[in-house]
Amino acid sequence: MVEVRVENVRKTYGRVEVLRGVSLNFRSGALTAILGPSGCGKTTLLRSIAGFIAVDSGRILFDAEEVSGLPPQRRGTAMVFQNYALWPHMTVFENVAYGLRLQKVPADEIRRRVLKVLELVEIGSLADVESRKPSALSGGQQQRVALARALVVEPKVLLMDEPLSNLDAKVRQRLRVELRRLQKQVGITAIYVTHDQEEALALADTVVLMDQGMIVQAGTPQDIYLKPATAFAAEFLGVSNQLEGDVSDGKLVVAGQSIPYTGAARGRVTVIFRASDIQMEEPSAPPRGGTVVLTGVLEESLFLGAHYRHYVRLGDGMVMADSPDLRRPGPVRLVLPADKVQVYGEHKT
Amino acid sequence: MRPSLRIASLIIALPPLAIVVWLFFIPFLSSAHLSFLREDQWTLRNYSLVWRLYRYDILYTLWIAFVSLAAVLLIAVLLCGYLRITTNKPVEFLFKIPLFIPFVVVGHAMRVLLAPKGTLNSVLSQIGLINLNDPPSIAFGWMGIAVSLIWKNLALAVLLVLGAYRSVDETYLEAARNFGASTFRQIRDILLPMSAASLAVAGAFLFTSMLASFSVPLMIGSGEPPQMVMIDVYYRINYQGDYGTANALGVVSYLLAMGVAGYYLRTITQKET
Repeated sequence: MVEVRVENVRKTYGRVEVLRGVSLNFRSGALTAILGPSGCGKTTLLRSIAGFIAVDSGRILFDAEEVSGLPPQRRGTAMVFQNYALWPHMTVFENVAYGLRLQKVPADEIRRRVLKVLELVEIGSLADVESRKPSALSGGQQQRVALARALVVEPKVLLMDEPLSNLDAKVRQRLRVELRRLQKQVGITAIYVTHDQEEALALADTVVLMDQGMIVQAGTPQDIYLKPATAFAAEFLGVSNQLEGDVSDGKLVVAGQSIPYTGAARGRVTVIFRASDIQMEEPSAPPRGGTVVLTGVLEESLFLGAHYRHYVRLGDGMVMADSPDLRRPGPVRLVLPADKVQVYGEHKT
Repeated sequence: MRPSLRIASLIIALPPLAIVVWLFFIPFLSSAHLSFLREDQWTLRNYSLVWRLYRYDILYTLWIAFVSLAAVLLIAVLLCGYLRITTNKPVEFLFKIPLFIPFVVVGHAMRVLLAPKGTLNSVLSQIGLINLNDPPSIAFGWMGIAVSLIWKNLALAVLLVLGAYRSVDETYLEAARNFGASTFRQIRDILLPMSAASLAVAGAFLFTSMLASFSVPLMIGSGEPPQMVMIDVYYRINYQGDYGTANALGVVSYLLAMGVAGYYLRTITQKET
């Protein structure tokens, strides 16, 4: 098991700086998810670790060995691609065996290892599948073959570039669990790139959030979700409401309403709270301690299956609130636990 | 399909169809028709002349076309693999230059280069590899024609093969590279099989083009039998006024080319279905 260290890595394409001095440790034997919106630099970082991209400056180390200057094949990584990249002219067996053949492993050893890894990824009936071409498999099966192809060479680091994004929601959710099981079973250091926050939180031991070529926050899924470090992190990690406000004299003024505030931010601020943290009450209900209360007008409610999403007008803005009950449009009071309201000064966004 | 859409499709298809009919089918039918006539009589005499006088020329033509095609494809497959994997724009440009050079100029350039006392032999003699008093000659024989056709057609081959290689997604190569595949293994194991259909089509184009070569064999050939078929057609018409035999030679050439065209059509139809 290898620890991957990235030190002050920079990469520029033309005038665009895609990685802006990224430094990060990927714990040995853990699954780290790199999460972020499109264009944030997460795939570039992964491909730099794989060796497909030469970084402009900085170092990449596998344990104590610097690999920044090594070609992909000498780094000991294996990559699972978003489009699987299974060679269509080879059978499943040939696809999985390819890496071993390049290593000149004896034929009977190749057969044993390929069948073992195909069993590990639970591809189904081996006799039925091994001689098929990838195009004859479902998306989920193709992804399992891609994973088997990566695992069979026993890489130091397993790299996955949005491997589930081409699958439908049900298969994706099932494969998430299996990926997690496999990674724990094999005990390999794994780096997983995704733009899906739910996937990152569900899969990873550590989540790294990136934006505009920089690390915004890194931590456990719980830390990242419950204690977002910036407005961007809070916004990206959930169905969030974002309002502009002003802090002065111990008061936070948001949507024309004043609420007590004891935090450190001053002046223009961004106030963020999750739709799922809001409780809706009648305006006449008695106030409760330890809460933040805002008053608005419920304009519309949509049924989303598991809950209703209510759209409440607050001054000029609109906020979303989730609840299991349908409510009538009209005046409403939004009650939030005080610790669930995140206030960020402008410099932190 | 709605009738209006059907009519519109037909209108769009008409110009290319008309060109094929006008420039290919009508000349072919006319040629086929005239190849069976001699002094206004229906006869197989033209074909018997072709068999008697030109069967070795046909084999010679096929030999040169096949050898040149094999060499062009071999070079293009490896060169384009290198260009696809490493990206080298100046080298790519250099190999495309012959596209813009007319066949006659290629013929002349190759005479200058490959003649017994040409540039190549001069250089070789200066470094002591050959004796200019008894120089080997690549020009004025099948090798000279083949070398000229290879150089001229390599540009088209590079264009076609590189296009096919570039349509292979980069991740397929990255996946192979990730496991340690060398440039040669990436070409042999990934690019070549994944572009096989396009390469076959490119091969068909190149083969028919070489089969119909005229200027290069006229300028580089020995002027004595065996000759390439198009030279025979030229002599038959210009020096002997024998349109019947010339047409019979034309029909044979058509049939050779159509075998390859049939393969091309089958390949693209399979790709589309």
